[in-house]
Amino acid sequence: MFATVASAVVEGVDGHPVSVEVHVSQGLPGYTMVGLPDASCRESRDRVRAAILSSGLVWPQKRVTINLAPSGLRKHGASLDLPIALGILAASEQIEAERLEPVGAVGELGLDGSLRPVKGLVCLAGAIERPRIVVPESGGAEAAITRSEGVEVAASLRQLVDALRGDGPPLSPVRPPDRCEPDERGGDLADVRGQPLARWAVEVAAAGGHHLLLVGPPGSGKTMLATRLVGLLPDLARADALAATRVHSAAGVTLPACGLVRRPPLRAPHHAASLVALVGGGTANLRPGEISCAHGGVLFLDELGEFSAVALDALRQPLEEGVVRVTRAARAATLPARFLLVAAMNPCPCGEGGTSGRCRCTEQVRARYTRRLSGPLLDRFDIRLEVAPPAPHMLLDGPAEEPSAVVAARVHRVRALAAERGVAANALIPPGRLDELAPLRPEARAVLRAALAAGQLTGRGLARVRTVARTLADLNGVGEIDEGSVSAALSLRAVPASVLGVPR
Amino acid sequence: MTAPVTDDALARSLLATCHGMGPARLAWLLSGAPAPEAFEALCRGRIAGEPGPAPPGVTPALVERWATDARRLDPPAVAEALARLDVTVLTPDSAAWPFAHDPDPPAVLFARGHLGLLAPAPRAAVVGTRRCSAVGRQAAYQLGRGLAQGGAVVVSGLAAGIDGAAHAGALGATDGNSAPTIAVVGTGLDRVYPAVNRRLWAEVGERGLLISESPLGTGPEPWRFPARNRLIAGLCAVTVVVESHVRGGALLTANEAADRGTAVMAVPGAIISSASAGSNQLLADGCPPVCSAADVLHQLGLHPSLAIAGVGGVPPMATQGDDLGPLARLIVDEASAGPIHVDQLVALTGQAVPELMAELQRLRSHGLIRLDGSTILFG
Repeated sequence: MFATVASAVVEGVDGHPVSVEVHVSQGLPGYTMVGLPDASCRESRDRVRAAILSSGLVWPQKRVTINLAPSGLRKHGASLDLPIALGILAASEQIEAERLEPVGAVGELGLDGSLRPVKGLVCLAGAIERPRIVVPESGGAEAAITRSEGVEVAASLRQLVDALRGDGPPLSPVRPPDRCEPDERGGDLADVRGQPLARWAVEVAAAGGHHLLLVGPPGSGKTMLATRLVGLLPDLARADALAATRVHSAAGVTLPACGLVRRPPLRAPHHAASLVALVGGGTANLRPGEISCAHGGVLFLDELGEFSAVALDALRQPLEEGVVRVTRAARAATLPARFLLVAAMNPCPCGEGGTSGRCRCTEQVRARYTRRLSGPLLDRFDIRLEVAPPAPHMLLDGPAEEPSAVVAARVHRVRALAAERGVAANALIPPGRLDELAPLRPEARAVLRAALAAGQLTGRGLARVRTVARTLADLNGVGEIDEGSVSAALSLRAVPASVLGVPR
Repeated sequence: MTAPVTDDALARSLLATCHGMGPARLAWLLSGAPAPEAFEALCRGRIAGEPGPAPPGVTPALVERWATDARRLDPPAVAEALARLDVTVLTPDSAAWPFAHDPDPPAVLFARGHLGLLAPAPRAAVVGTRRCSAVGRQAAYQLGRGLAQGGAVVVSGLAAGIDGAAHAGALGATDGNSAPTIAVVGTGLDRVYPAVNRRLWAEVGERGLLISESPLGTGPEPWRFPARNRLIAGLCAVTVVVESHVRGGALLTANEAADRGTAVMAVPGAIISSASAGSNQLLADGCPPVCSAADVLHQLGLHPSLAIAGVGGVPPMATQGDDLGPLARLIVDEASAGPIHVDQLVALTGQAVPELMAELQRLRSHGLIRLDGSTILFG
């Protein structure tokens, strides 16, 4: 007998439909699986067999052949356990095949017949071409994000089989929650005291989506600033929220309670992270990396000088294009990766460089520390901020600072202006449209001309400064960019000498 | 055998290339016969003339080694390499020879750059440790800059740390009548050492003068650096030690200067900083302290104008700034007292950050301040 069950697998962040074909025939009892299963997929045989027996059903003492079509696509993971079990039950006539016809299924089986959640349900749910799909109980909300109708959940194989046979109550459909609890926004910017420059720079970076480099000794508040920055960003637009949710689902990142990632994510990979962990890839399956998980939000690289040079230079292409193309010998995937890069580093390995005269690093050590930071990568940071530890009395007795909510309102206003220009943020204005979207007053033009003549700016730097000046002018409510905005943007771009590994 | 070498300078360069040929040994060889003859003799395994008692370490085996080295040399190729790298060979007969009255002069000098800098002029050595503090580096930079703007030639060893900062400061001088800088290096002029100073090396060779006692191809051999220090001291009327550990090459330079009877000065450092232990000891021994470039310029007999900012800075407002607004005036004033972070300026002025940042760029474009990240430096 023969049965087919619809399912899907994830590659990158895309679900691909997979048809699980099961053939049960006379012959010596045996079990063959074809269609490029990987090791964990091949192991499904033992899980499925135990789950069927534990559920009080019968394992056919016949020749069982399973084909995972299309046969050219590599199948990985345990998410095909459930469709394989259903297929075997249908082919051995324990379930009527026509009842399975409109149902797709995905899920991992426990030996006791329970259903376990799998990664990437957001991507999988949309790829199964059936009116109804059955997923593990805890994945209902996730699957319902891309599929508002026809998502059903089951806790165990037995419950599902009973429902299909009509022996038990039908499975209840899942609806996406109407309202979400407000998400946690991290700390408040009011906590940052005595560092007016850093507060302002974070506001500008959030408003314009400008990449930010923080240089300062340990304990000067770099991490604190980075986490506050995410809280200033507006909620993700629907398309970005969906893209971020798909990436998080495929990468196995815990999704918020309501399923959809609506707040910009903050990803802070450790500096020992491998190239593949950062940009995505892998041999068994293409998995999204940290930069894709940061899509729509902030990628925070603490201790930038300790990341490998290879990993850092791999960031350049995604920074430019907003996507990362991961290519392996047999497969390729384009993953979303538009993020605001916030990087933090000490001025030198001992951390004391520059400010205090306590630094004991030799120039060779300093040079080695900063050598990994290539010029082209440094060029991508529109705002270079030297963070000084706040004066002690400011921490205790300083005046109360503006809270995040007030600053965020200004940030949102600037983002709305950018949206009217057709870009998500001012930093994304293409150089070709700068004259149209960021027109300069004559005196502002003169400032840029002088900076170019003095060698303070490169060609790329000029375009970047104009986008930052656009943001500053927006914050001031100025249409045509004025001299003050351009001047301040140039000051924000000044590179700390320590980053270049040269003395002051 | 190729044609005999007749040129004195070339013969000296060839002799200097032989293994372990320090200034004393070279002088001993040349005391027997002129350089071309000494070289020809060495090629045949002999010492020319009657040079007197051999300096310590000159054994028959070493002479044999020299002879091997000398025979291996290709004089036209050496001459060609010197010409290609634009290196001038100076001998005691050269017009520009600066060591006529030195008690321990070199026998030959290799130079690239502006030879005019070797003419009698007020010169100051600014030396110090390679393992310096950030404050020391900055002091060296500002001294170098102030001295150059005050018309003194800054001489140092182009090492990492203090030396490099002093050269960088001299090259960074913006004043019209500023004097460039001389670097006395320990390696051959074609061997940049240390590598971190590659850019500085090229710039000194272009705008100042690079000199070395070591022939082309000589790598960083430890014994050459103390020998190099005596040349730094010998070139200068004043030697300033910016930072030195208890035992350090900079103290050797100071000793060489003291032996020659020229002034030794030291920059006071914190008593808890080990990088200043040696220089503070010099102060304890009676060396005059250096608190600004003006102190050194006075010692050199130069009269610093008010515009020169040394360590501790002379307020510049006397000469410039009539056209500056009160905020700009305040910023420049604060920066001239030492590096200051934007956050500190905000606290001092009460000005909003955006306006302050815009003002900084204006001052920067006027050349009144520099920005090191978010720290404002004067000048």
